[in-house]
Formats: sequence, C-alpha cells, structure tokens
Amino acid sequence: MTERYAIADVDEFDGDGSRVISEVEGQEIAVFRHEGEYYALANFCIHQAGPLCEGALSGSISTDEDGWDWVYDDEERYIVCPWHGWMFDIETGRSPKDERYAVPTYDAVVENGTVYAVR
Amino acid sequence: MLDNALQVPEADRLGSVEDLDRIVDADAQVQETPEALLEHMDDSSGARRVISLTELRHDMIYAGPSSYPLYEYKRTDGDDGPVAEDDVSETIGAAEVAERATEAGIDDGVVNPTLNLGLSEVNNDRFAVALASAYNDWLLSQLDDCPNLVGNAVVAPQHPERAAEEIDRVADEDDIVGIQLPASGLMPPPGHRQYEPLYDAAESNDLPIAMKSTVGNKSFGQQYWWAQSFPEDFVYQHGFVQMRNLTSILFEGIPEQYDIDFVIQGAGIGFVPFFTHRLDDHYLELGYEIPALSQLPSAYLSESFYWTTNPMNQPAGGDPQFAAMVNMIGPENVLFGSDLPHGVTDLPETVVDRLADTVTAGELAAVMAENTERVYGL
Repeated sequence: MTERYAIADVDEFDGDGSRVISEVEGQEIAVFRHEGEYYALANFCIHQAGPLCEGALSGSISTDEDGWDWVYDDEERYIVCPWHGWMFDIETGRSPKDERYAVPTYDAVVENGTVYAVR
Repeated sequence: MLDNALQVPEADRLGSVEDLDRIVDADAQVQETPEALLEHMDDSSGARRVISLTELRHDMIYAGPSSYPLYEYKRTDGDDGPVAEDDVSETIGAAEVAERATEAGIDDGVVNPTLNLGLSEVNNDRFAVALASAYNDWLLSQLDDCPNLVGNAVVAPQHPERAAEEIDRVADEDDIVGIQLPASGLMPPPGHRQYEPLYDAAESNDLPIAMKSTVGNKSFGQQYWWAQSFPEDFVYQHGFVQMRNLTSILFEGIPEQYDIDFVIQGAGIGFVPFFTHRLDDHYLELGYEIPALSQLPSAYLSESFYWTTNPMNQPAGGDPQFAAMVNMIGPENVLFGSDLPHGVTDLPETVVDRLADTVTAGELAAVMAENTERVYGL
C-alpha cells in the first residue's frame, strides 16, 4: 500500500542545495532540492544509525581514465553522514562505492505547493 | 549462545582428526643458519666476507638492537644447554622438519625460512639479495630429499628488480611453490609502486606470495624501540605488521592490478574479522582517496587472500572464539598452519578439536589440506 507523507511547503526550501527534515509517524524523512528537483530519503545512516541527512552535501572525487589525476565533480548530490562520513547519492540512496549499501528513498511529489514523500 | 549458534548438524561433522584423508601444513619453517648460507655463496662474494665479519651472529646480520638474545638465553639451562628445540643458532633442516611433521600427523607441508623472515631489515641491498639467493639454494638442496615438503622462495624486497630475477630463476623448480615476501620491517610498505617488478614476476610465474611476520627485530617502526621487553614486543608485532602491510596492498590496488594469491602467516586469524570490517568501513567513508579499488576490500580478501591458523591464541576448553573467527572469515580462506618446528606450534588435533562441531567435515578437510593444495597448486 502506498504511503504518502507531507514533508514541507516548497516555500520552505531556500533554493538548490537546501533541505527540510520532517518527522512523520516516528520516522524522520529528509527532502533535498537539487537542480530544481526534490529527492526524499530517510534521515538514517545504515552504518551506525546516525542522522545522515544532517550532514553536508558533497560532490564526488574520482580519478580520470589513466587512474592518476584526481577529478572533483562539484555536483553536490551526495549526502555525507556527520557521524562517520559514509556518503550516499540523494537520488538513488546508494553508496557511490558499493550499491549494495543504500538508505531508504521515497518518491518526492509536489502537489499544490506541498512536497510529499511517497513510498 | 554463540557456540550453539555455530554448531553444524552432527551428521555433517568430522569425527576426529583421524578421519581426515590428509593434512597439509601451509606454514612450517626450516631453520637456516649463517653457516649454512655461507656454503651457498661464492668464495669471492662480498656478502660472504660481510657475513664472516659478523662472527656469524644472526642478530648482527638481520636486526638492530633487540631483546631477542635475552629471550634465547632464557631458553637455556644456564649452561648453554637448550631447553627448547627452536634455538635459532642450530640448523633445522627440511629432513628434521619432515620428521617432526610426520610425528604430528602432517602429511605434506610448505616451508618458510626462519632467519630470512627478517630479510626486510637488512640495510645493505647487495647483502640482502645475496642472502635471499643463498637461502633459496640451501632450501632447494634441503628439499631434494624430502618428497613431502615444498617451499616458498624468499626474495629481497630491497631490490624489486633483483627480486623479480630471483623469482624467475627459481620458479621452475618443482619444490618452489610460492614466494616469501618477508613481512616484518618491510619499508616502504608493500603497496608501494616500487614493488611492481616483484609482483609482475610472481604473477607471470603463477606463484602465490606468502607474507610471514616475525618478531624481535625493528619490525614495526618506531614503536618497537620503546618496547621494554621481548614480550612487550612479541604480543602485538605479528598482527600489527600484517594489518599495516595489507592495508597498503589493498588500498594501493595491488589485487586490482595483479592476479596473485596472498598467504598471510604468523599472526593467526583473530584479527581478520575486525580488520576486514575496518577496511570496508573506511573504504565506504573515504573511498575517494582509494581510487585504485573497484569493489569493497572484503571482496578482494575473499577472492585472493588466505590466512594461516597459527597462532590460535585461544583459551582452552571448548571456547568458541576460534570457530567463530573461521566462520566469519569463511573456511575456504583459512589454511591450517602449524609453525613447526617452533615452540608455539599448533598441532592438527588442536585445530580440528576447536572446529569439529562448528564447520562441516568438508569444510574442515578444506582448512586442513585442500585449501593449501589449491592455493599452492600442490
């Protein structure tokens, strides 16, 4: 059965990179605004149950094709847990290093100026 | 209860050590002496001259200041009579190791050096290379008459190109089944790019790399120098040395770059679950600093790293910790290792006793023989 939670009005977001964390029925859900879209995921780090979505947003560092030069992609789509630094893609909920590690995500739906988390 | 949770059905269990088809030891040692190595050096060799100037004291060849001589003295009766059989001043050749292995119920084994486990700590590169070659020639002469033993050839990490040449030189010998890269005092650590020739040679000759940690030398960097006693050094060295080396090997991407099996010896298995989880944890946290890997460190450990059992370091009397560790690592990655002929030897029946109720008979047969046969291609 689909669950639908009202998280925030769109007016509460301060542009891209902002977030709202709301407690709904005993669980905290975070909605991030990123490049004009909204993404929702649980405020819960699967590592040691830290408040994942209270951490910083980050881009990603990788190496180029020759495996040597470090390249920083400044698209800040990764949420970094403030407790131990595990990071997850806010769109997919998955670790960039191993997709088996993932936090729960929700579909973020905007209706009549309200952002809902739907699952 | 932990032990109850681990138990396998009685029908799947091995009855006793006598029910095993065979036992293969992944970690025995011959014991070379400076005198023995001299016989395998040319008369005109500069290394031979240097060794002769040391008065053949192993501690003058392989290590700096150490409390090891005191430890050895304690193992005498006060009149230089040994009270243990592992006094490193005496040669223990392959025939004697084979005899002791047979007495212990071991059918076959892979031997490592003793003194040359300290080879990484020899400062002079020419000297180190000469010692490795002399040891390998001595080892081959020893193994000629021992059909049940094979060995790891030692290489001098001080000169990776010469180490590669040494691997190529001995790789075709039937009695050489792997390479011993002395783990203790290995600097820079083994993930460093300078070792690429060594890994290239091991891979191209399809030889696994064994790394056995030792003690009593300047093995673990500066912290060693503050050890007040031999036991203060001995307790932590083996495990910490291996964790330092393996972190380097993994995070610098050696198993991504090379198809080589690693056999980790001398530290037991107790540290492995802790270490594995810690590697994964920090990879998931700081993976952007570890670009050489494409999967979790634990995945590489499962694919190509093997752990020998000695020392078990477990309480006696049915304690379930050792069995828990084997199950956490996976019995397919654990190799029985005795450390014969040394005083802290774990005999086969001890290992079987600790595992008989908690791994299946098939898994126990793998731990006690088949895994080693597979890794070393025996």
